[in-house]
Formats: sequence, C-alpha cells, structure tokens
Amino acid sequence: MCPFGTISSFSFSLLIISPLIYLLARFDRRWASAFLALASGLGLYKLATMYGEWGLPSQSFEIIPNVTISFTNSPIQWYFAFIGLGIMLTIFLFEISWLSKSRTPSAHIFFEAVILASLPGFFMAGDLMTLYIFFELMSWAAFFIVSQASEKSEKAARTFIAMNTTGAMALLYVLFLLYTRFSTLNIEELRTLLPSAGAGFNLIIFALFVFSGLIKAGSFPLHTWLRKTHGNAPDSFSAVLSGYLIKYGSFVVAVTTVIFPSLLLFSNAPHFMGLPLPNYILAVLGGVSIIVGTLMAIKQQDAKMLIAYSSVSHAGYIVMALAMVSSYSVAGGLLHVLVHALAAAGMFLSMAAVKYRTGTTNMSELGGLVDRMPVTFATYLISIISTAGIPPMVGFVSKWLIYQSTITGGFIFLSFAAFFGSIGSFLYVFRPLATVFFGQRPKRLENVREVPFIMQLPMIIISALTVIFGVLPSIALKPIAEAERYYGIKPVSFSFSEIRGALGSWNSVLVFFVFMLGFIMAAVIFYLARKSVRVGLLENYTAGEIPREIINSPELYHYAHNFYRPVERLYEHHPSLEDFYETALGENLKKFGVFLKTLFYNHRLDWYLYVSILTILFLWWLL
Amino acid sequence: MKKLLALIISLALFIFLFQLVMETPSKLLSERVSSRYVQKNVLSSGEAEETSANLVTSVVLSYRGLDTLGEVTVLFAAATGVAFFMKNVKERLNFLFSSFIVQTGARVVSPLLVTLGIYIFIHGHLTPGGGFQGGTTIAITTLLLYVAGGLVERKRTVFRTLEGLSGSVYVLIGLMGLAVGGAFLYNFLPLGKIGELFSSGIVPVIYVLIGIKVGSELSNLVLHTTGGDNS
Amino acid sequence: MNPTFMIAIPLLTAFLLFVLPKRRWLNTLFITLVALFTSVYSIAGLFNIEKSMSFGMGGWPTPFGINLVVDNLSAFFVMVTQLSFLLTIFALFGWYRAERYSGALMMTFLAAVNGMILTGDLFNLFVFMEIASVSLFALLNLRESSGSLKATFNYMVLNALASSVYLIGIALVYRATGTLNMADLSQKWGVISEASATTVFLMLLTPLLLKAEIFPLNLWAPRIYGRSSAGITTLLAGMVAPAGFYAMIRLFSLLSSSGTTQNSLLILAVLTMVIGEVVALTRKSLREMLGFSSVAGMGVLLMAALSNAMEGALFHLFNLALAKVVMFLSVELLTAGGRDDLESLKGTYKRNPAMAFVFASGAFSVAGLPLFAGFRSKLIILSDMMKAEHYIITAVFIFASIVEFFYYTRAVQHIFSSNEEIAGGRQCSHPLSTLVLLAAAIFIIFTGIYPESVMALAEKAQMALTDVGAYVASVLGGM
Repeated sequence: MCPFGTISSFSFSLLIISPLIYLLARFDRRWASAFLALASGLGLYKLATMYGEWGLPSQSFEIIPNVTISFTNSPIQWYFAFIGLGIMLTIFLFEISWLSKSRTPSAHIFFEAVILASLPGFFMAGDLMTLYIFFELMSWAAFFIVSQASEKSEKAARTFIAMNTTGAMALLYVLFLLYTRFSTLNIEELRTLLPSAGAGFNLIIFALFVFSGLIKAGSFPLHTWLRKTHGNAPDSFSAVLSGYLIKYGSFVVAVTTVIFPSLLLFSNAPHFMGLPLPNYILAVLGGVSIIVGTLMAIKQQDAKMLIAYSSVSHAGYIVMALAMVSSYSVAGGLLHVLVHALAAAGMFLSMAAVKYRTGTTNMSELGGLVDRMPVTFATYLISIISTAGIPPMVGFVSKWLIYQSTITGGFIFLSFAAFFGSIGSFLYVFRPLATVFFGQRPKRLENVREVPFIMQLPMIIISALTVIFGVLPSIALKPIAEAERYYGIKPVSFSFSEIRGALGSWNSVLVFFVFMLGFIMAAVIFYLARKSVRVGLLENYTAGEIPREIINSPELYHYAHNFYRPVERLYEHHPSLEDFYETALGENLKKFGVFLKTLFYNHRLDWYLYVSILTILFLWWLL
Repeated sequence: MKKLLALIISLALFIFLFQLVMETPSKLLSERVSSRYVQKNVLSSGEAEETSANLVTSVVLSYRGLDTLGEVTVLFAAATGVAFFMKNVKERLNFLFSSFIVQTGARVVSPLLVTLGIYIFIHGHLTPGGGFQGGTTIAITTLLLYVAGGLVERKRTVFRTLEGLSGSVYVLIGLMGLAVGGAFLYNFLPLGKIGELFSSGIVPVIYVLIGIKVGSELSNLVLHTTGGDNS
Repeated sequence: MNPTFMIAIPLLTAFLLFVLPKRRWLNTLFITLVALFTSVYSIAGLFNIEKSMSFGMGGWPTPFGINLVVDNLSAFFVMVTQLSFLLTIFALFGWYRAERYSGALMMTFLAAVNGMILTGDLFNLFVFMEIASVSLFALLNLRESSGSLKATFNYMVLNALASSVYLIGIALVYRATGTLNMADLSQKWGVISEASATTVFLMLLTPLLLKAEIFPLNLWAPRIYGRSSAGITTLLAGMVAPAGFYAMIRLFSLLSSSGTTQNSLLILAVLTMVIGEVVALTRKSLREMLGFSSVAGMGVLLMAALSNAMEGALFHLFNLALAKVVMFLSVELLTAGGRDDLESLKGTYKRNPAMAFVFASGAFSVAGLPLFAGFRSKLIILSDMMKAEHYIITAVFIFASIVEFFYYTRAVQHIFSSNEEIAGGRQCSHPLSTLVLLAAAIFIIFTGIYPESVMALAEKAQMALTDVGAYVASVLGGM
C-alpha cells in the first residue's frame, strides 16, 4: 500500500476538517474527543498494516524547485509514529471526560486535532521540508494550547515558542544549506550524498541539526523551557507534551546520528574512545542533561514541574544513547523513547486525574489519596518504577541496554551519568508518591472519588503496556531491530523472552515471575499481619503542642514541603540556566531594542538629519 | 550651537553640490530635449505643430501636459487639505482693516483686479502668464475684499462648485482627446494661426479652466482660514 | 488596456465630488465604484499583457512628451496597490463615511499612486509623488489623535527635503543627458562619469527610499503608524511603500549602478530589517509594532531584491502588502480606534472574532508559518539567497524572522487570550467590511497552499524587469 495515499490523506484530511472538529467540539466536546480518539485508532490500524513496507517513496506537490512534500516509510519512522499515535489515542480517551474541566475545550480539541494531523506527517516525512512544515505546525498548535491554561501559562508559552522557533529556524537554515549544496532535501538521498561533502560542512550541518533537536527534545543546555511549559500546560496536554512532542526532537537527533550516518561522516574526525568527537560531545551533553534533570527535579515543589524535569533527564538518556550509535545504545535509546512516552504519559495523566478531582497539583496540599484513587495510584506507581529503571517494567530493559553500551564502550562519565540518573530518579519520583498518595489526607479531600471510567481506561492501558513490554520486551524490540538493520547497525539480538547483551543475557519472563513471587509473598504477609494504626498528622511531630506557625502555614509541617532539603543544600547555589536565557538573551535583546529606538527614532527633526548624515558617512567609510 | 552645526552642514552641502555640478558633464544644448521644444519641431514634420505663441505655455500645456494636470491636482489636494483641517478648527484668522479709505479703495480696485486676472489667463497662450497666475490674481482680489472690512460674502459653495466643475472639465477634455486622437490630452480642437486669440486648440480652454479653478481654490482657501468668530 | 484611465477616472471623481450634492452615501458609493473599477480594470489588464506598451500623452513622441508604460511589472504593482485600496475602502465602511474633502483626497491619492507606478518620466514621477504625499498629509489625520499632527509634520518636512534632493538630482541628470525620460535616460546614462553617477543615482533614489521606508529615511514611519488611524496607514503600507519600491527597482534595472551603490543599499536594507524587528519586539502599542514590522518588511524586500532573489521579493511583496493591509484594517476594527496596547487587547477576540481571525491570518503570513502565504515567499527568498551564497545575510534574515515570529505570535496570543474577561459584548463590524476582510484572509491561506497563480504573476513581472530592451523599445521605438 502506498504510504502516500494513507499518511498524507490522514494528515491533510485531518487538517482540513479541523475547523469542523472545532465546531463539533462547541456542540459536544465529548463527541469531538471521541472522534479524534477514533481517528488515532484508525491511524494506528493503518500504520500497523504498513509494517514491513519500507522505503516506498511518494511525491506530492512541489514547493520550491526539486523539493516536494513527500512521505516515506522506514522502521524508525514507523516506530516513532506508531508510539505517537498510541499516546494520542490514550490522551483523547482521557479527554472525553477531562475536557469538562477545561476552560476552552473546543479550542483545545481544535489544536489537538492539528497536532494529531502533524504527527504522522512529521515522522513519516520523506524529506526535510515536510519535516520542517509539520514541526512548525505542531509547535504553533502546542503554543496555543499551552496559552489557554492560565495567566502564567501565557508567559510560559511565549518562552516555549521563542526557543522552539529558534530551533525551527536553525533547521530551516540548515535545510537550505543542504538544498544549495545537493539540490535535494530527500532524506534517503541525503543519506547517500552527505559523505561526499567535506568534514567542515558536515560538522556545521550536524551542529545545527543537533541544536534544533536538543531544543525540542528538552535536553541540556536548551531544556529551560520545559519546566514552566509542561508545568503550566493544561494537564492532559502536559502528557502529550512530555510524552510525545519532545520526541519530535529526539527524532531529529536520531535523523542526525543514525540516519545520516554520523559515524561515517565523522570517520576522519578525532575520536575519543572509539567514538568521533562530535558524537562524543553530544553524548556528554546528554549525560549532563541526565544529571541536571535529576538534580532539578529533586528541588521541585509542584508535581508537574517535577515530572517536567524528569523529562529533561530522560531526554538526556535518549540523546546520549543515540549519539553513541552502537548496537545496544541505539536499541536502548529507541526503546527508551517508548519507555518515556509511556512513563511520562502515565505520570502526567495520573497527576491530571488528581487535579481533576482535587483541583491542585501542589504536593504540600495533597495526601493520602491511595485508597480514594487506586487506579490513579497504580498507574503512577507503575510509571515511576519504569522511570527508575527497575524490573519488571520496561524501563529496566532500555536502561540495561544503555548500560551495556556505556560500559563496554569504556565511557566512564556517561556510565556515571546513566547510573546517577536511575538512582536519582528514584529519589524524585518517590516524592509525589509519598506526598500525594501516601501520608495523611487533608480534611477537604475526604470525599474525593476516583476519576470516571473513561479516564481510568487510558491509565489502565498505559500501565498494562508498561508491564507487558517489561515482561515481553521482544515485542517492542522487533521494529527496533528492523530499524537497526535498515541503517546498517548490528541489530540487538533477542529471542521471545531472552535478551542477549554484551555482558550477559537475561530472561524477562523469568524476572517477571520472580517479582510476582516476591509480590505475592509480601501481600500474604501484609494481610496476615496486624493492621496499621491511624495517627493524626500533627501529633507526629509537634508532640501535642500547637505552634503558632501551624495555623498560618500548615504546609510547613507537611512532610512533603521541602522534602529533600538536606540533599538540595548540597547544590543550593547553582547558576540558573533559565535565568541566563531569560535575562542574557531575552531581556538584553529587549534593552537593545529600546536603545535602538531612542538612538534612531526619537522624533526630533534635527535628529533625523544627524542620523542620515551619520549613516551616509558610515557607508562612505565602509565602502 | 545648533546654528553653528547648521552652518557647517549647509557649507558642506554647498561644497558637495558645487563639486558634483562641476563633475557632471554638460550636454550640448542642441542635443537636449528643450531645443526641440524651442523649435516647436518635436514631430519633425516640417510644419509648426504648436501654435501657442508663448513658448512656456506650449511646453507646460502641450508637450508636458500631464505634469500640469498633476500640478493642478497638487494645488487641489493642498487646498482640500486645508479645508479638511479647518473644518474642526474654531479659531480663524482675523485681520480686518476697517478704515474708510481701504474699504472704498478696495471696491474700486477689485473689479479691475478681477479683469486683470481674467485677461492673464485668457491670453495665457499669447503672453506670459496663464492659468495659475491669473487665478492667483483673482484670489488676491478675494483676499483684498476680505481684508478691507470683510466685504466678501461667504460664497464658499459657489467657489467649490466652480473648482470641481473646472477640474472635471479639464479631465474630460483630456479623455475626449483620448477618444478622438488616441492619446490623453491630445489637441483635438482646430489649431488656427499662431498669435491669434483663438489658436492652438485646447490650450486656451485649459488655461481658462485652470484660471477658474485656481482662482476659486485659493479664494476658498482665504475664506476657510479667515473669518474670526463668525465662521 | 489604457493606463490613462487608472489616473484620469479617480481624478475626475475627485473633482466631481466637489460638484455633487453633499450626500455621504453618494460619496461613499462613488468612491467604492471607482475603486472597484480600477481594481477590476487592473486585474483584467494584468492578464492581457503580451508585451510592454507605452502610451504617450498628448500624442507627442517620447522623449519629448510624457509617457505611461504598462508591462508585467508595472501592472503587477498596480494590481497590488488597487487591491490594497479596495480593501481599505471596504473596511472603512465600518466607521467612516466618505465626506467631500477626505473622499476627494483619497481619489487624488489613488490617482497619484497609480501615476507613480505607471509613469515613464522622472519629473512626472516627482509630480505624482507630491500629489500622493500632500493627499496623505491631511488623510493621516482623519481620526485625529494626540501626536498624529506632529508625526505628520515630521513626515512633511522629511518628504520636502527628500523631494528637494530628488529635484537637484533631476537637474543634474538633465544637465548631463538632456532628457528626463527613463527609457531615454537608460540609453544616455553612460555619459555621466562613474563617481558622480553613484551620487546622482542615490539622489534620485532618496525620496523612493523614504517612501519605501528604508533606514535611515524611515525615521518618520513608526510614529505615523503609531499615531494615525490604522485605516489610513494601510494606504501607506499597502500603496505608497510598494510604489516607492517599484520606482526603485525600475531605476535599478534601467540605470546601471556600481557595486558600491548596491552594497551600500544592501547594508541599509539589512539595517532596516534588523533595527525594525528588534525595536518592534519592544513596542507595547500594536500599531507601532506593526509599523516597525512594516518597515522591517520593506528592508527584507530590498535585501532580497539586491541578493538575486527578485522573483521571491516580488511574490513576498504581494504577500506582505496583503497581510499588512489586512492586519492594519483588522486592528482598526478590533480596537475601534481606541487603545491598542497589548495589555488592553487581551481577549478581544470575543468582541470581534472575525477580525481576530483576520488579524491572525495576516500575522502568521508575515511571520512565515506554513499554510500561510508568507511562508512560501520566504522559502523562495531563502533558497535564492543561499544559491547566491549570501550565507551571513541569510543568517541575519533568519534571526530577524525569529524575532518577528515571536512578537507576532505574542500579539495573537494576547488577542486570543481566554484568561481575561472584557467589558462589552460582541461588537461586530459592518458586514461588508467583515466579508471583504474575511475573503482576504482566506485568500492568504489559499495562496499559502496553492501559490501558483500569484507566483506566475511574480515571475512574469521579474522577467519584465530584467528585459530592459523590451521596455526601451516599447517607449522609444514606437510612437
């Protein structure tokens, strides 16, 4: 089946009917959301049927000479698109109910329709121009959705679009550099043509691509927009943002490192431990991203911002893994895309569910929701186990693969970063668990119920998938191995339940059974032992006295507040990259603008004359 | 300080322009367009093609007629602009001389002035002068009548209609030239003998129109801007 | 197609307005009919041009008489200006009924801009420029506000200075070559020595640079855009600036210019663009922001024209003019001439959703979002500039585009903000205005997806520009 017919018609028809979807949403938002869920399901089905039909090019209309909108199908593209459509499906199911709490449901659905349309268009792009166009469309739609959440989110959205557009424009520039050099923007053709260009040219291309990819992926050093944007976005959309949209950036990095054969391109560059220097630097940036993301996440007070920083750290994993371009690292990196998509979606959806019922995600205002919202709790728990890379969830598989490559490659810093990320992630993911779900329940949350079934369904699906892929990772590894084979990398070797690595192999089903055994034993002990005793929160640490402060700000004594203060003190005075970007670039640019205005445009007639004369003299001197 | 700067800039400008003029070559007079105008021999047909005795008129109205239409329009736009602004302005200029001598004198002089103006623009194609000059003279009459004790009546509507009418007829004549001769402002009336009153086709007609137009325009200008408290 | 009508009919209307009884609906009807006529006539003419044609005035042969030239380039520009005018007239229905004076001035303005584009004579160009400026001096104060008079005064003085420089230039040209006709001049230009040719050429270019809002002659522009009513500044952005640009590129192609000239103009264009965008970022008033952006846009056009991307520049001019006109008009209707600072704009989409949509489509077109017209033209400019190996300038252009994208998105975000409640309910504009502006907005999106027709026009225009021989032949060889 020709991919053109399917993908482009999917994308374009969605784009065309998106205004109609807007109208439908104004009529009944649940139908609109359900319609989009159906559409994504349909897309998934069509995509599934296209598995195996690699490399069928398609042409569309010409934009500039020799450049057309084209789509193609290859394992890596299929993989990204499939995960994306799956995530969107769960989100749309969730939103059927969630939208009732949104302030602008119809606009929200409209822009999400645009994002859904851009999804297959972007990933299945056959040439860079198509990539760029759908990239822009997606950023623009995301911008508007984020703006709608609240007053604060408008400013966050502006930071988002500023950084995103910079990345997109860098992409555009490199696009035209390639076009001028090779007269084509087709990805497959470029793949074969690039090695013929000089190393300097390839370095510039690489750098610009990486720049644009890192911004979108939210990886260090261009990650500063994530906290405010994901933190302030409408809740279900945060899941889309973290779960899927930042994978657009990871895809760009994958294009640069895996598809454009970066190892080949830089084969004449200086190498470090067997890896060309540009790749190594990229991997180091990924490693730093892991560390920075972890450390920053520990500091956060708001659950969503915490998860946003965890996305930074995971983006670092993906970037680091893809940069190393070896058999295990590419497999690990690609699998991590799936891992993080599921985990981030799971975490954000459960937080969205909590906010749906309680109205807040500030951890010091919540507590004890485990028995009121069991499905939400279970989703969150499973997601964080996966994030921390603990078996039997799928998170363990990807991390294991990444460890294989960093250790066998001899990269000390990268291995350290990878381990640090895992351990540190357990620190920060535990905090929402402990503070939101465990602990004392505030009086006002006494009557909180679980979310409606249609909202539980996606959470259940995500949890189930996390477990299933953890038990049988071979299902996910199949397209990944295809992808590796397609681009000339030795595919990771595995069988139905066994994964073979360089340092040994393990059987996932066996591991799962061991865990189940342990779980059952613990459950038995729990139910047979004595029941726990309820104790009031305050009595825990005020020993019966009631200090004055408690009345005014009880959260001071909520044990979630400043949970990790001792750890934070270790790195308290760190330079803030967020502020740097905002002041050094944003504010200074504005100051420069004001300076220019007062210099030139200050509306006195004689001033006009002086400026003109000075300009003439300046030109005369220059030329 | 500013004056010093202004002086320096003006001097610099002068020197610069002087050098520029010195550097640009000068075309032989006979090779310039103007020489053919003077000879009234643009068409190289042997006969005098242009029969207005006044050379300036023939350049202004015949050879470069579109420019004149443009100039008329500039004046029109400027006067209309003034009228536009003056609509909302309450304060007007008020400088009347109410002495008896001035008033009587004005009454005597003004018909003569008007006649002079009309003479100038009717004979525009024969003698120096023309529509603009004649019209201005007429407007001066209005100013005189105002200054001399406000003798002029508020004839704004008449002036305005005259203005519009004359302008429209000018453009219509141009269009008629297009219809008859295939070019805008083509001279389609009989050319006659050079030096006579009724010669050179549409030229005197246009000058009359311009005279009426400019006269009423500038008179309206006077009327708009003056009047003090009794607008 | 005889271009004389494009000038004569509006002029006739202007004069007739003084004769007809003062009925506002009559004046409005008259003006609308004329605008419709010129628009349709220009579009019809545009598609019927086989080769360049010259029309002498009064039947005199050039170079002795004045002539009007119609070829694909001038017809293209005439079409752009007519469409801008038509849109403005329709949008003005909402709040302005043509009176005698302002209506007449609009007609003379229309005739003058057409004349500027169609003429083939240097002095005639001057005359038409003067008419356009003088008409604007009054029109800019249609909705008088604090500062609009002062801004107009500044514009007046600068305009006079630039025109004086131009006249001196013409005097020098005549002294050296003995002719004022553009085509004839192109044959005789070589007489002037290289050094003084640059200076004289720049002198001729001065008022055109002013009209086309190029630094440092655009210092008047932002204040005018900020203080005058947006319904009238549309005329500046959509008619005067393109006309100035036309005259510039025509003179460029007809008269050979040195590399120094081109480089200096390129630097000025880049300066215009960068300064315009960076300052626009800081502006709180939407109209001022749009003004600076308009200025920067003209810088982009000049930069593209000088960097071998003329076809893209022409296409971009069309898109820019349309988008700017649409944006100014929608801002006028959205704010009803009131406050236009970004803060007070929050949530105004609820007041007038159609105009908010129109503004958004114009904004995204200029910002270069895919699916909108401006994206396609920007792509062509980028690809042509890269082909000419102007890597650094392209990078600067990309930087300017980022800034532009940001502040336009910010403005649209404010307008569509759902976090504020605004006083007063729906205030829809006059249905005719809404309809016409919506049609323009949809056309912008349509051109973004299927730009072929407009691109073909731009291509023909560009070929007409470079085909100097045909121009000269039609002017001198004919009558």
